Amino acid sequence: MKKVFSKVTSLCLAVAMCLGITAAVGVSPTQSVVADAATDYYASVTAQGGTRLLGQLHDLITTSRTKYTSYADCKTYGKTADPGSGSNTVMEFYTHIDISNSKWDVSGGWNREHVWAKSLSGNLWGTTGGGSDLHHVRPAEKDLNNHRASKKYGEVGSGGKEEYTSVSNVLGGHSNSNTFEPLDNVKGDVARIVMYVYTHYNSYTYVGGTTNGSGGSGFFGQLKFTQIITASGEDAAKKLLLEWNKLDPVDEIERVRNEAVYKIQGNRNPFIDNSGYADAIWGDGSVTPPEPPAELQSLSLNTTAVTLEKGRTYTLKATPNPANAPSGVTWSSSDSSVATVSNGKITAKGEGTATITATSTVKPSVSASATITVTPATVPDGDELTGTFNIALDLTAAADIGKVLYFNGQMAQSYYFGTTETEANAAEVVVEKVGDGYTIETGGKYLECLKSGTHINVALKSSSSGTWKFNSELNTFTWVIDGTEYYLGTRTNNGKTYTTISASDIKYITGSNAANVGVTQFIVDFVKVGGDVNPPTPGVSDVEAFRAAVAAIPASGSLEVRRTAINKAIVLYNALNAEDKAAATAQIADLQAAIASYNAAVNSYNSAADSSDDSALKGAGSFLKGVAALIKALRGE
Amino acid sequence: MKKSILIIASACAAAAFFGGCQSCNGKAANYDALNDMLALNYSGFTLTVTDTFDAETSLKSVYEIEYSANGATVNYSIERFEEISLGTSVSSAKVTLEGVAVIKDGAVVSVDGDDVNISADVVNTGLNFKEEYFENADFTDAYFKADVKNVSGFMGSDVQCADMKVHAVYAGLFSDIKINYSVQGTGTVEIKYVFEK
Repeated sequence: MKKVFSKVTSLCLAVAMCLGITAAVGVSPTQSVVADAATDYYASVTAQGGTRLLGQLHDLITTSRTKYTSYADCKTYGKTADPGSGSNTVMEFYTHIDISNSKWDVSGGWNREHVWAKSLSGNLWGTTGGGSDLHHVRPAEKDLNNHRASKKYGEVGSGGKEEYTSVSNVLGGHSNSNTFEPLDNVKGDVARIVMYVYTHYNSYTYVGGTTNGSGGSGFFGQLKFTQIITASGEDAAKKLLLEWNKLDPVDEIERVRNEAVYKIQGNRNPFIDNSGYADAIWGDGSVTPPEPPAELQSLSLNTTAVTLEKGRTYTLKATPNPANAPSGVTWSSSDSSVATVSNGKITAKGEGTATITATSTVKPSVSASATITVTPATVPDGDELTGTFNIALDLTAAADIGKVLYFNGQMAQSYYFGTTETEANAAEVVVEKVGDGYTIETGGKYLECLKSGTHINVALKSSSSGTWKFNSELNTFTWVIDGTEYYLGTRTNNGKTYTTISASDIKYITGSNAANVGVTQFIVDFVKVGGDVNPPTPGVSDVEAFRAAVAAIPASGSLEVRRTAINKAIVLYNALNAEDKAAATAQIADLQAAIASYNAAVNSYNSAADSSDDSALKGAGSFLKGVAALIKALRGE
Repeated sequence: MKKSILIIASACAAAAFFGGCQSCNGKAANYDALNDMLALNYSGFTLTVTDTFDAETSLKSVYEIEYSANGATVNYSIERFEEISLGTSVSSAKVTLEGVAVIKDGAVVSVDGDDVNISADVVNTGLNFKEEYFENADFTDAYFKADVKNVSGFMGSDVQCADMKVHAVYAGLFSDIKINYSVQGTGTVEIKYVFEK
């Protein structure tokens, strides 16, 4: 971090830090990205640093707390907040290994680890309050937890003893007689937990800089960092924590966990959401508050006129002037029969001219418009077929081997593909909707390219009265269903590109259009003619659909309704790629919490039913000899 | 033949007892007759236990018992809810645990089917009709209805419940015995024994 102040300033800073006050010097550290869901959470935090920021964060994380979990809750919620990668496992804090949920408090199993040990809290907590705060009580391997015992955190140097988990024998840190040093990839986690605990649980005599305060100085806290950090003094302890905070930046594990605990307790660890807070409070950084928005003067669009063929789309973008003015707009079309608009995306509906207008949501007198002209879709004449015809795909290209073909697009009805050399023996293959696209299944399996030297023939067979037509512009066969023409094309959506079958793969086309052999490209997608060759992203992206599905999961109520909603979200979750999952960590945490809640209800209901059956069977003992033996036998004993 | 005579004799005794009064007010002798009917030889019975948690959520367990020469065959079909995990969804909320157990001379000789998770700490149990176990009893020659005030005495085991009611229907032999109660924070339970002659 660049230091630009003089020696005098440095002296003043040093003196200020000794007094427990840190002056903000206007150097902005790199800030972590705050989760979208948490942006409003920090609305009350306006301070740039020092005690004022510390006080505002203290006020926020204590007043937003809606649940004080019990010590027993920490065991239950530990499975939710710290799930392992395997099913029914927790993730151990120091090593990140998976431990089975059921291995509770046994050697090689897991129990609760107070990152800020109870005995080092100055009697501020035992197993309640800070002693059962999910932000700081973590699953730890029992033996490793014992090795750490109540040692402070710190650096042990080269003479430290290696500490391992038992059974799995995974290194979890180093220790000496009074200090435990976690591994480098956990040091930041520890630092941010310690900072959270310090901020939350300090009982203070006076805090300057609460949200309603006028700022200034004040002694903050009876809880000292030196109670948990091995250091020569408080300043050295803070320095080490700041170093660990930088050495091991916030990772996805922490972000997802922060969301999960937020959902349970109602408060967040601010040092995970913004690791710059640490330097701003205890270092020499600051947090730059957002500038107030400027007054909107005007709007401009990326174009003022566009011509589209019927069925095609175009996206307008509205830019505010000045640039930091509010940018929210509503969109409207002067003639929806010509063009519709949604979130700036224009869809050309019919021939004619329409005006698309973006109107500011904060200043309706400010707007911008573009003229759209819709021309007829270019669909060349071509021969038409009715019924079915065969297209053979010679998928012998090396690049095609082992690929799975996905057919995506808009379809109004079910369509079938045959996978045989003759239409008469065609096995019907059902095209199924998957996520925002479609796939083809043959007997439950996807249509796949066969090994080199063979080829497959695909018979296109419609269940409707659709007619086949050769489209000379697209140079392929299309078919018309309910007045709309479709062809098979490629699809690029959210980075997923599906297989393109080249014309050289075509062996023959039977039927009355045999003369049209020589189709230059047989592209694998259902695409509406007149639309984009690479069709636009459907109305809802994978991530948006997943988020919406998670938001729709009811928190309570009918088990069947909850199960249906959770299942839908799970299906969408399993279809997400890694990038999508990274963008939906909050919703993934919500889904995990919903699953845990559902399973808790399931187990409760099952236990109640077990108890009822037990009572009923015992009642039958008066007219069924051997009911005791029966009950034992039914348990498998 | 012997079995039939026993049933007829017992039925006659019960009918003779109840035939003399349209509505008896819980005298000890009436309750003895109910206990005697429990001890009659039935060809079998079906036990159905229904736990109702809300309007859309319930679990049902069915145990069908058929008596044979020296024992009984128990066909069981028990619904339980299934957990969900992030990796896989479940197509149906419930699973059904099924199987057949054979009891001879009071001992289970075979079980073919799924294990279930009911309690195993069984003591001498069984329904027991005693006057002091009930209140608000309605006693006729066709049925007995009452509120159960001594649950463990009547059921033969402890049952955590409230507002237990019993409704037994008979005509010399039990037709069925229905027991209803509520469980705080959970829902309601109905236990029904339907007897086969």
